[in-house]
Amino acid sequence: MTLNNSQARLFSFVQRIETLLEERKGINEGISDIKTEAKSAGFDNKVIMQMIRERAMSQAEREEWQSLCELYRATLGMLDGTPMSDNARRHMSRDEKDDREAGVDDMFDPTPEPEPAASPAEARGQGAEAFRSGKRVTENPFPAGDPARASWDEGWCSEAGSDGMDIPPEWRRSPKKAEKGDEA
Amino acid sequence: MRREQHMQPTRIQRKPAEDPIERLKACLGKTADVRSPKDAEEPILDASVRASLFQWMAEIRAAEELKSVGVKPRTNALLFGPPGCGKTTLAHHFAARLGLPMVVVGSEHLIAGILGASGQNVAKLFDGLAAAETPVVLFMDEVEAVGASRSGRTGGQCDDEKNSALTVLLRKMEEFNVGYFMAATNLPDGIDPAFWRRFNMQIGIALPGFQERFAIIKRYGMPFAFDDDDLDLLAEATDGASPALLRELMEGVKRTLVVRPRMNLPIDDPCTIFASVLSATMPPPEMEVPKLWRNADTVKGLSAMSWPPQRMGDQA
Repeated sequence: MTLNNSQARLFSFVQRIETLLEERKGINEGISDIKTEAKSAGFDNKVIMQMIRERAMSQAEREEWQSLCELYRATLGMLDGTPMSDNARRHMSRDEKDDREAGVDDMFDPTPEPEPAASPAEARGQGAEAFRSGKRVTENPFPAGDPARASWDEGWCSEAGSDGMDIPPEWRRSPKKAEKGDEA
Repeated sequence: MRREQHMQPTRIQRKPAEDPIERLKACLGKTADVRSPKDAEEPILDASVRASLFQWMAEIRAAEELKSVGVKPRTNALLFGPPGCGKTTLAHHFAARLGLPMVVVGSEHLIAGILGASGQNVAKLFDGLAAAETPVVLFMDEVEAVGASRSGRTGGQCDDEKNSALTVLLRKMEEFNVGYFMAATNLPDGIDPAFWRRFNMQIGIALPGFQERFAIIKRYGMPFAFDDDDLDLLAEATDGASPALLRELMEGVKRTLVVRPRMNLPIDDPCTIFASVLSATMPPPEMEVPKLWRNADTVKGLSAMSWPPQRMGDQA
């Protein structure tokens, strides 16, 4: 049989691929034989294959992969009490440029609370105003230990003319009968 | 794609929580309950208790001025009085006024069944507070469980264990410098003298007076609007009742008002309603029994009340 030029090329491609497929089949069988041998020697083939994948990586790639795995496990609550490796910790605290869209709220964004700053006189005034607007003495906006907190409380109490522990008006007797109750 | 450094691991944290309450919870674990200053309720207190508390708060605010005359504000107080008189509410109000979280410790957090574990729990509590690095009001309720007098003990292994827990508490109490410590007891006579002496203040919380009872009854009667004359009648009849008992009484009345119609029973007689609540509510054995509980004529006197009370929304 005589073949024209293009037929001959097609045959060549097909035969080359067939040869390689045949070789691959032989190699796969060889790998299966090695796995069978490893299994009979007591090794776990899944772990062996994972090690082969990891050996194919560079050291940097391997570290990256392992720390990502740990991070995902930690996020899913799958660390089961084991500590996270230093690599994974470094990975978490890596300072990368924030690529998220600006101005869009994100559940991961910390919500900074505005720090109220006020002089003692201002805080006293705010406390007095808070009493007039019906706020409770415990609704002090200043943080614990801030001198403005004390001033706000003092302003509230001096406006209320009490120690801030008076019985709230809604639990007292109605004004028309107050006189009678006071006598009692 | 979510960047991995923004994921929050569930078991390991990068750094302690920013929020002091979360930090305290993380540091204290099961050794205490942590309550936010925001959750404090309004206290209804006797004038002398209010005065003591008000002065204490003023001292804390004037810490710098006090320093110039060589003294420091007091840091701890023992509250004693009958059960249900608002000791916890008072401590929570104090914490809220200072803007501090309240750490509540009960005997269940401290007393353990294994030898040496109670002392360890006390140490763990104070170590946790130190680790949280945030000022708190530490409130130890029913403190007689660990602070009972050592003199009446018989010298058994259990007593040794209690003694050692108390010794740890006494030492840790002196080292405690991250806020204010309040302890409460119903049994002041049984408190160990060394423990008693370590408190800067011993504040007796008495049973509520007439005005306070009026307010408590009105408060726990809500949303039913009782007439002031009726509240006077109830406040008069409940002389000697604790706030907790008054609350129980009024909540019982509200429950009865809601439930009886569903049971096809009438609610038009105040005496029947109160009698049914009183039959299932009693003051603790060691306390005086108020008139309403011991005298049937007092209950009959409640027939003068305007009844049934209206709900506040309905009135409007």
